[in-house]
Parts: sequence; C-alpha cells; structure tokens
Amino acid sequence: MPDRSGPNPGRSVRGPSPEPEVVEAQLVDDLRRVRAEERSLEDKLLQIQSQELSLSHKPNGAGAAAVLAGGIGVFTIGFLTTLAAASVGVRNFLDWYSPAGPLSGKTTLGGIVWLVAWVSAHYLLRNKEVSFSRVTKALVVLLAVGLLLMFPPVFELFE
Amino acid sequence: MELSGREFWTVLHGMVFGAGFLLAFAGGLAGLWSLRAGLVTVEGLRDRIMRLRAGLVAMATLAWLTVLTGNYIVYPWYRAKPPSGADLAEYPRSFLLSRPSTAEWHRFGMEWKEHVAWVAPILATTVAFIAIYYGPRLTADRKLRRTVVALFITAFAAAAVAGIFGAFLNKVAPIR
Repeated sequence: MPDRSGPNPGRSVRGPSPEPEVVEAQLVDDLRRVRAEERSLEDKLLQIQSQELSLSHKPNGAGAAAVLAGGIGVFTIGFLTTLAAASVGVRNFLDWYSPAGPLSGKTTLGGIVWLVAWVSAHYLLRNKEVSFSRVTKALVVLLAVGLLLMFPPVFELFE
Repeated sequence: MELSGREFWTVLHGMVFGAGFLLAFAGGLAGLWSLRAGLVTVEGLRDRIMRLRAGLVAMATLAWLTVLTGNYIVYPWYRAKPPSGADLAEYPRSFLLSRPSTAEWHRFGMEWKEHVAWVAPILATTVAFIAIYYGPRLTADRKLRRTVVALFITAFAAAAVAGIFGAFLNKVAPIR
C-alpha cells in the first residue's frame, strides 16, 4: 500500500499556471488541428463513398455557368427595372403585353438574357475546372446590384 | 362558400403555388445542408439525392407557376385602369393610389413585390439544375454546395418578400 499520509495526499505537484493568453492560443491551435483532421477524414470518407457510388469526376464548370447565369438574370431584371423608371421610351418599349405593362418586357427580356447566358456559359465551361471563389464573388456582385436596382427607393431616384 | 373566378386565381397564385414553394423550403434546405460525407451513408445519400432532386424540381416548378400566374393573370386585374365613375374598390392599383394613406402599399409594396418575385424561380431553377447535374457529387464540392445553399436561401427570401406583400396587399385592396 502506498503511503498516502501527509498534508495533501494524492495531489500532483504543478508549476505556476500559464497565462490565459497562452492557454487560449494553445486551444485555438488544437481546434485548428482538429478541424484540419476532420476535413482530411471527411475527404477520405468522400473518396470511399465516391468509389462505392461509382462516381466519375465532373468539372465544376457547368455549376459555375449555372450560378453565373442566375446572377446575370437577376441583374438584368434589376437593370431593366431602373432603366424603365428612368426612361419613358424604354418603359414603352418594354410594354410587350399591355394588360401587364412594362413588367412583361422586363421579365421576359430578363428571362431570355438569363437563358442565353446560361446556355453560352454552359458550353464554354462545362468541361473546365474553374476558380469557384471568383465565380462566387461575381455572383455576389451581380445579385447585390440586381436586387438593389429593383428596390423601389433606389429605382425611384431615377424617375 | 363561393369564390369568384378572380378570387380563385388569386388563391391559386398565392396560397397554393407561392405558399407551396415557401413551405417546401425548410425541407429543401435541410436536404442540401446535410449533404456532407460525415452525415450520410452511401445508402442514405442515394435515397436523399433522389428525394432532393424531385423536391427541388417541384419547388422550381411552383416558383415559375407563381410568377407566371401572378404576372399574366392576377396582375392585369390589379393594374386595370377604371373607367370614369367606376367603383375604385374593383381596381386595386387605382384604389391604393387614390389615398395618401394607402399609396405606399402600391409605390413600395407592389413595386418591390412584382420585381423581386422573379428572383425566386431563376435561382430555384439554378439550384435544381445543379442538384440534378452533380447529384451526390455535391457532397464532395464544399464551395459549390455552399453557393447552392446561399442561392436557395436568396430564392426563399425573395419569395418571402413577395408573399408577405402579396398577403398584405390582398388585405388592403383585394382582387374580387
């Protein structure tokens, strides 16, 4: 039997506790390492699952083309909305179906531009691997500007 | 319990097609969000992708039906010009603009709704295409999956703005 007598039996001897900043930095490092390991394991799991599902690689170009075209479609409708607010001539030109007024032209033309952009980009990019970060940045700009241009307080500034 | 022809189309546009899209959103988002290798088995992935593809195509179809019925069937009744001496209650746009207290419902609410609604079908179609084209490969491409989720949320937000204003406008100046 070990001798447990004494003032603090079983208590380990520790040095001075480290500064909180040091502990925090170590924890952040540990967290990063765990996340990196998690991603690496997820990638391995993906490889196994892809083999099980007999998946061949598909370049991300077709996805990028669809995403960019979606942004272009939204931007076009926004752009036409503001343009129609600014110009009577454009407003009259876009009146393709009188009961619905210029909205018919804005949305139909926006839809045509979206589809043409999509088909063109699809055939250009479908077999390519593209930088998705750049695609995402372009999408954010197109969506933000497009949505802003179809917001009444903004397009009314041009009336 | 009767509905006029106009009321029927308004209900179909907003309460069936539009509300169907909005209600299906949570399921679609959960499906897209959980397309991660660590969360699903191969069998689970096969099953989930099949349901997700069908669900996203149905949602894109609902979004298109909503904007097309809205734009070409309901909206013309909303914006019809009243003949002189007509009861303005039958002409929602003119009714709203006739009073300063309701004019903003048209100038802000309807003007925003009629344009922003079109964002939903465009982005929902993009999301459905990517789910069909890449299928289970979406689990492997984090950036593409995240972009798809962001587009899906944007489509929902646009539809929600249109839906909320549609409900309010139909309360303030109903189409009868």
